[in-house]
Amino acid sequence: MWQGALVGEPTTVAAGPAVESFEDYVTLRSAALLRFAYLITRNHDDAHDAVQEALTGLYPRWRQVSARGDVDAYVRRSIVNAHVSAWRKVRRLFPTAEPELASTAPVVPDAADAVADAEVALRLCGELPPVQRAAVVLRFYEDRSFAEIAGILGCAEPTARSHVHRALAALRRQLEGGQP
Amino acid sequence: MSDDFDREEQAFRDAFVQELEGEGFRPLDPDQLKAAAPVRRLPGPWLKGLAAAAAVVLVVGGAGVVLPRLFLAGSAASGSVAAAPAEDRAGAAAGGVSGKDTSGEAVPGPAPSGAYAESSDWVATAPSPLTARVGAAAAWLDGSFYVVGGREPESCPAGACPASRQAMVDGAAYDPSADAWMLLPDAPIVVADAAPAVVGSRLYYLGTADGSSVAPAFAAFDAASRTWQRLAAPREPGRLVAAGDRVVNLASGAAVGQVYDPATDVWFDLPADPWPDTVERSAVWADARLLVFTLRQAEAGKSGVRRLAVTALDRSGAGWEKLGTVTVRGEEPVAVAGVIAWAAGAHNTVYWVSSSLESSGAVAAEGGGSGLEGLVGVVAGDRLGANGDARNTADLYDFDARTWLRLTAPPGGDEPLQTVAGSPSGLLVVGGDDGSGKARASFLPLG
Repeated sequence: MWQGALVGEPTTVAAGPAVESFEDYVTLRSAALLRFAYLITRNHDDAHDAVQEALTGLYPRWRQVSARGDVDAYVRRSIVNAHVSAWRKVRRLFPTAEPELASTAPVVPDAADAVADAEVALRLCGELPPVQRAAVVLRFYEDRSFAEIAGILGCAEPTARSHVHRALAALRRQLEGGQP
Repeated sequence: MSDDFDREEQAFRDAFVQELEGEGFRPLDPDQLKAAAPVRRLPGPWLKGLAAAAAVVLVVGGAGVVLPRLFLAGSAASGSVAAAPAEDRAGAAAGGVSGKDTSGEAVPGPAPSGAYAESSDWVATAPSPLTARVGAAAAWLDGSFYVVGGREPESCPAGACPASRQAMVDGAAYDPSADAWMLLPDAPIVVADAAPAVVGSRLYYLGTADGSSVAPAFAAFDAASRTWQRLAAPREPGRLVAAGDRVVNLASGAAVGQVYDPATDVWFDLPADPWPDTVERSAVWADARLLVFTLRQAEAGKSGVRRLAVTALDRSGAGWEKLGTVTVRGEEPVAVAGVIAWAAGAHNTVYWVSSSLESSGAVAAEGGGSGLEGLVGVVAGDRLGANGDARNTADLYDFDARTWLRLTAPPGGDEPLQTVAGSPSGLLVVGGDDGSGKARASFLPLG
């Protein structure tokens, strides 16, 4: 039932037509940015905070950033950075286990069940560090290339590829019953 | 473990669809955002003076002592510090250091510094035999640029392209002295977006088997025999670093990475990460040792310059030697002109430390803007590519002459994801479509 279904903004819409003003950009893209932020933060308030912070930071730089033609990447990078900062503050108070070391990997009775797989994947996403989670969202929700992910996250392309690879490997271990 | 992650990829896709189901997101009000936006102010004279005074802050020894001087001398390994040399080796920003701390945000970047020289013009090469592409992997070896792989160019707006554009395995070598291209045999793996590691007469490529998988594949091209060889793959994706007669695959996870021994076609694990809170790491081979620069948790959220922990693989290869920290801006260090340098493209700056870690500095170019993006971090002899300015120019910093070389835009302009490769004799830009379906290529001779 989920095959091919897309809820929200496919990648082509995320880029969409050229926008000439900050106002147009916010009107056309902020809902998609909120969806992206929600998938990273998994919280409505945090998503709104991250997007608002990114867009208020964008406004004074609009002319410079839009002239470079990479507004979407710039804003997404800002959203990720804002969330990473917030996450670190929380993490200092509540240390979290690395997902690959978690000992509570669930056993999925029917591994072929796509719904069950998605639930495991969703749970794993909640355990991933924010930059890695962002890489996974950019890859599998926004269908971006590794080069684009690297540009957004401000890392080397192999690093982006590695973030995704490790998440896939961690998910496989969980789907297979937590085997190392 | 199989390299096929179809089930896991689908699970992530389904998870995000499921996560957003029933969630509504309304567009934000631009007027409210504008009202909440910070007001930008130009820096006052005192702030400009502070910026002019700042550069790299190098901390040596394990105690984390801040040395408030631009140029330091002494033994980094022992932690002792001698007097600063009188000579400003690379024309770094003059004056002292703010000395406030090395926490990143408190250390502003350097002011524009160094004289400017104009380069010669780009010239279109002989027609390239390669089809139009972006993201090709290119490197210089023994008189030729080797251009391999890449993907079909984007015909869609930036950021809106599907991830699975057709990947390519063909390649060609360009000899600038003869202005001639020569086709190469097809690569046995798909490579894109990452330069190869050059060791001896071989170029080592880290890619994937088919362009869509994330599992790494590894191969080498021997320039002498003009043959490819598929090699044992490292455990996980990473970034290749030429390390003497070996190749290091630097990973980004808990493990530091692996070392490849060409003699045995075997990968060996690097020693365990000496830091418990690594966020990112980079590495360079300098002064006959592998230096690893680690961004640790406390520095990761900071903007501007950041403090990186420096470790060296000890001579036995069994452990890491902690050498101190260096405060720089930029992503990937490169070895150039006897120093280790970072180009911070968007900020037009180059930070450097000597290979012995005894001295350091930073220089900045004038202007700002995107310039020739692929030039950032490219080494061309004793020069390092930095970013350009709003006039769509780009700059190389010449460590030997202590000058900036201002480049004009190549004929195709600053196309996204085009490849820039450097050599002592010039720069090659390959990318996009020359109008006939072939890859556009231009060469800039450097004196």
